[in-house]
Amino acid sequence: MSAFVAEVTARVHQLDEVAPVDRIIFGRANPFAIAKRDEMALTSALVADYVRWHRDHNVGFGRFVGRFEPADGDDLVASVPVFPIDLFKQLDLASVPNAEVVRRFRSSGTSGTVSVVPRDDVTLARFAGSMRVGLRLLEPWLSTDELDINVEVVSLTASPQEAGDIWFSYAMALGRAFASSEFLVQGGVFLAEAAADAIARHLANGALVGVVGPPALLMDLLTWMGANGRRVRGRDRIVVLTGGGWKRRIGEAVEPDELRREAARVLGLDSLEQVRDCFSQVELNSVFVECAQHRKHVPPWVHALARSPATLAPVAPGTMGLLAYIDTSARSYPCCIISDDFGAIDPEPCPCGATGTTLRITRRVARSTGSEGCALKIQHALQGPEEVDG
Amino acid sequence: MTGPAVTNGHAVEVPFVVAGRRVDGRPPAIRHVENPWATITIPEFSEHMADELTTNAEIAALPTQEIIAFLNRLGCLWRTDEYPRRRRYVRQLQEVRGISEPAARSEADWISLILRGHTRIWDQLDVELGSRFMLDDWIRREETEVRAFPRGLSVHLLAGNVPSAAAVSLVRALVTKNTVVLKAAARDLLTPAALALSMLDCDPLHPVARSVSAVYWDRSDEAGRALVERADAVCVWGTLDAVEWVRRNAGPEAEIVPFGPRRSVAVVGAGICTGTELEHVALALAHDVFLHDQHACFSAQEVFVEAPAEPLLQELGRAFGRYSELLPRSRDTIDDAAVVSLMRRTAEFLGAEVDTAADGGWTIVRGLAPGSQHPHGRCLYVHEVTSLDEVSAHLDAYVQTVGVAPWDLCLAHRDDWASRGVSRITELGLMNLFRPGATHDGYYPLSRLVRLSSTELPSAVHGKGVVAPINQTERLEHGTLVELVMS
Repeated sequence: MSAFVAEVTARVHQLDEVAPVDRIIFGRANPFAIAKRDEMALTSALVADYVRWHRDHNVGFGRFVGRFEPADGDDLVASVPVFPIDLFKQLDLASVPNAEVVRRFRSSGTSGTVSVVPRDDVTLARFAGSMRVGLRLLEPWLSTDELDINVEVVSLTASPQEAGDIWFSYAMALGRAFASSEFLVQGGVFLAEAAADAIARHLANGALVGVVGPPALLMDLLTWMGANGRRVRGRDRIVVLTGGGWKRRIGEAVEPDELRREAARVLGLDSLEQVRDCFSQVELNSVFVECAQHRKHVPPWVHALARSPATLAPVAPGTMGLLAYIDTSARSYPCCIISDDFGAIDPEPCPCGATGTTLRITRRVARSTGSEGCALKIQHALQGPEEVDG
Repeated sequence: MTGPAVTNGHAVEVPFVVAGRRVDGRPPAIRHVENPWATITIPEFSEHMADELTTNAEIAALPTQEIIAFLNRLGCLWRTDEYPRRRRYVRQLQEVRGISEPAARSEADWISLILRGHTRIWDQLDVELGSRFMLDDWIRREETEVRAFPRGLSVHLLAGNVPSAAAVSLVRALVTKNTVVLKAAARDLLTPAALALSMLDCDPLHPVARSVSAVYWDRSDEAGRALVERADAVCVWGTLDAVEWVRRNAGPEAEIVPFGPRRSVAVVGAGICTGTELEHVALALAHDVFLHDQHACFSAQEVFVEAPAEPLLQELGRAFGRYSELLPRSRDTIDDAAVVSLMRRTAEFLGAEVDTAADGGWTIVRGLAPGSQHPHGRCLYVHEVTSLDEVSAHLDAYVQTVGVAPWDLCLAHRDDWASRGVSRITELGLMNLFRPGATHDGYYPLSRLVRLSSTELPSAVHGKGVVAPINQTERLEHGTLVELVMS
């Protein structure tokens, strides 16, 4: 167990009483093996407790919740009011005293209007836990029991120190909590050759290599390796995890399957299953990792729902709507949010065998002016100016 | 945005007009522009096409009266549904843009009014250039004679938020004798083409018709960028990004005529107290909120009401209901719907009172300022103020129009508001009407579309304050240059 995880576990155990959500996040049982019926009951119980706690500890949220009285017969979880993530740009939404906030994380962006999300130790620990739980979906390519033994992470991001309070970089750098990590964006410049060197070195040393970063920089790395005769034979010793989306480089985006094929070709992977994507956002406190079927799994402590763009009422699984989440792992702020993303909850259970909700994220809501996302900060130095109307 | 034609929704082909010549799309040189309701097929803009877009000397030589007469004939065509192109335009606005039939008819009516308004165009020339004869003759100005000349090739990058704004930009450039390239916005490919094609309907050989083009190019298109670079004037409507793009890409001598993002507000004083007055004011406000689905720069987004606001608010619900029938809202995209829903929920979190139509067609938010971005979609933010002196703190150079009721508020507050950057003050209900003499975003656009030349009187004419012929050599020799003007 790494020092980081040990510290986190110790912090959680310092609590007078281990919260039910912590038993799931940090327990030994696989949260993605809970039967559907049990999962629904569990999520409902967690959400009810969660909303009550934040209602009592956060005046603004309490007043907001008070405006919405569920009607008789309403699904209590679905009727929990969710609020737009834009509010994190306007308000300090802390539910804990300021002294307990260890860090305020920001979404990236240059407009000056970024989300600011206060997190305490418990919330951060749970986020790390959610990442570890998500990595279970990478088995058998990556064993979570051996993460800290012989895994080397080649991170196509800035170091946490360089990234500051940018949530994306913090989240993508979380591999350092479980394994030795090297950060290949330095001073805003992506060091493709150094990344290729690191991969080759770790493979030669017999390590299992995790390549982690935004898809655009992964593609940059693959392109560089291909063009410079640096393809490797990773076989089953490389796992690739992308996150953050293409953002401003959306014009260069390739289909996920194409990216996977290119990664498999250049890195010499045995299977396309070794390339996964994951999703998180600064306002959310959990990571949704893709399974072998390339579906993003929502852990059972998060309630995810698609809502009608016109009324914000829940829509049926399979129907596109605005994705909303209640993430009961967020203690320091009420994570009852409706995102800017269109997507849908998958109507059928995932054939991978893991239980739990899976979802598809389609695209951002189009507003009259663009918004910039997390991957931007890293990529800014690597590209030309943003396209504009003209 | 581009891609193969879809099988659902409407399939519409829109031609270009290049220097007065209709250009239909021929595969493979076509592109498909998709929106939720239709796939529009247009020709591919090419370097070859761009090469044809040059200054047409014919229009520069045309008397202004002939240009205005041609526009008037055109406007008369657009006046009724007898004109097939108007019928098609009204239908296509509904099919392609989801605009309601009454609102589509209103757009066509405005196009007709803008083109037909010959007396108002003359007045506009008179006010903005100093004389309505300025483009046809040398006009005496003190010790000179001045004449206005067209800039030459004018490119108009349209925003598409208000379809009839294409007609405004077109008329301004034509009456100043410029060659016109209307570059459509992706969200309104119809209006520029309809305008240019109707000129060909009117008289394809007329110099005005031959001086107008209607095209579209993608934002990354090099031929389009190069065209902007060699334009003599660029009218750019839209976002700050669009304006900045033009500033980066236009030639150093080009006149840039920007109509960047603006917002507008309404102000209602406490003097409105009788039922009839309240009803009238509420309807006027509803008009200024509902027209163009609040996408125009002159659309009222907020109203400041001198306390008590309650009587007006009660009347507003009825007025908004009435206008929902007069100008039914355009069909929403899911993005439009999401932006408004998220705004409502944000307002609820922040403790504001939120009143919404049963069908979601309009929203009144009380006790909250809009965030950095107004959601449009007929959302009105109501601020109750104890004194109208509080209003000025909310005004800046991004406020284009302030609509007031009662009218005498204008006299009391205009110095203050205008000094804060407000471009126009109008009566409530008239925020969309630019009267002759009105400024647009702080200036007179016609004056930016011409260049002025002057011929100055010879030395034999003494000039004011000079009592002898002007002989500078003699005065230099005698050291009396300073005496040229008598004390």
